[in-house]
Amino acid sequence: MGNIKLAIVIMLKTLLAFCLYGNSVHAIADSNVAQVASDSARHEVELIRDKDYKCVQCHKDSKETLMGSHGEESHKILGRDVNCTECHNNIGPDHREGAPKVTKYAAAQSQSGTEKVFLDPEAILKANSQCTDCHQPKYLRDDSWTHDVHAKNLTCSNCHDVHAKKTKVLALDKKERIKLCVDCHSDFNNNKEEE
Amino acid sequence: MSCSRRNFLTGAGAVIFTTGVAGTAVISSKKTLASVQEDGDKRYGMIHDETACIGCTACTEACREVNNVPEGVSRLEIVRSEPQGEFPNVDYRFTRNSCQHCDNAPCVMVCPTGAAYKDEKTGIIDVHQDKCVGCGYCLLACPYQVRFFHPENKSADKCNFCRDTNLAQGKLPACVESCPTKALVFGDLNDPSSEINKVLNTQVVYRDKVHLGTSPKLYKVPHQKGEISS
Repeated sequence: MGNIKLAIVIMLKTLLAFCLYGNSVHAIADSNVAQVASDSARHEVELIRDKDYKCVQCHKDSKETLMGSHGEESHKILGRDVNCTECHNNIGPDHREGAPKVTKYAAAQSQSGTEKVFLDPEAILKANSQCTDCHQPKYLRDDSWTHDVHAKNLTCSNCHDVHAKKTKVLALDKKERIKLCVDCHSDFNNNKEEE
Repeated sequence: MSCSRRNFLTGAGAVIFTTGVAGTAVISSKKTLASVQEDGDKRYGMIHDETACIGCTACTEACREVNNVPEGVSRLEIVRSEPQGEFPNVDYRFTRNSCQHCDNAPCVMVCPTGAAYKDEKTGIIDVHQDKCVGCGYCLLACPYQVRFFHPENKSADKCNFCRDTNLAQGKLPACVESCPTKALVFGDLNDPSSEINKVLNTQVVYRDKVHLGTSPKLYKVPHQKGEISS
């Protein structure tokens, strides 16, 4: 009987000893972490999630091509990338079935042309406000007076494409730019005369 | 042999009459459709319709190419006004600055060598390049400030309605041909049925600095907004 009692006592004592030892190990572990944390500067929380990640899965090079026009320049002004949805908002649930809702950009003009799409001036002004919210008219005027006279008459896409470095009108020399004016204006001048 | 005053005058009158008739007969025999310039008594003029001009400067470039005008100088310029109105209804006035082919041209009057001259058959003011000594009197005398020294041949140069290029080939001046909105009308002011006279008879027009008595032949249909600065 005495043996059994002794055995129980020894078991209890070892259990107690293990508990104490375990606790001390845990305490040491905790204190170590606390020391490391106090050594480094305050931890900064970063947003790791890429807002454009899901878009780029399908639209593979769109982000890259955008960097040509809205990369460094937008970092200078905004201090960050321009995200897909800032221009292409209204992504609907049926985005993969022809994406009927998302904001798209296309060439259109307020006078009917042979090959161009017609859109009434108010609709053009509204469409262009997507760009002119940031690219304000007073700065556009400094770049070229033609912005002024086409504000209600042409969508930006007629002459510009943001998904590339130097495209459309920005890639053209003086003579080619004049040809751009001439082609359009002679076209609807001819159309007027035919009427 | 006595020659009375009466006899002399009748004789002289007969001579003038016969040579006069013969002269006109020679000129009229030269008339062909192809050679526009050999028709006598033309008075070429131009109209710039500011209501149609879009300021694309296709005319300036066409002139440069056809007449071999180097970069840095130009025979014709399209001057753009300050913006008129507020966004998004901003508008500009474009006006043409080029030789006005004055009937009473100050450049011709001041030229000491006869290099600047008026071609009486067409009314065009032109320059004999080989006679020009480069004194620059004409550049200063021109109230429209449209003359310049050609950087290559160093003579005074300016618009001559493409007299030696397009016009000589029976075509319209390069600027008129190139205009996408047909804002330029060129023609003979002496011909009552010409297009230029039709426009002059139906539209409101003005000319620059008429008060100087230069009688310019470049007419302008004024832009419908803002001040006309002639």
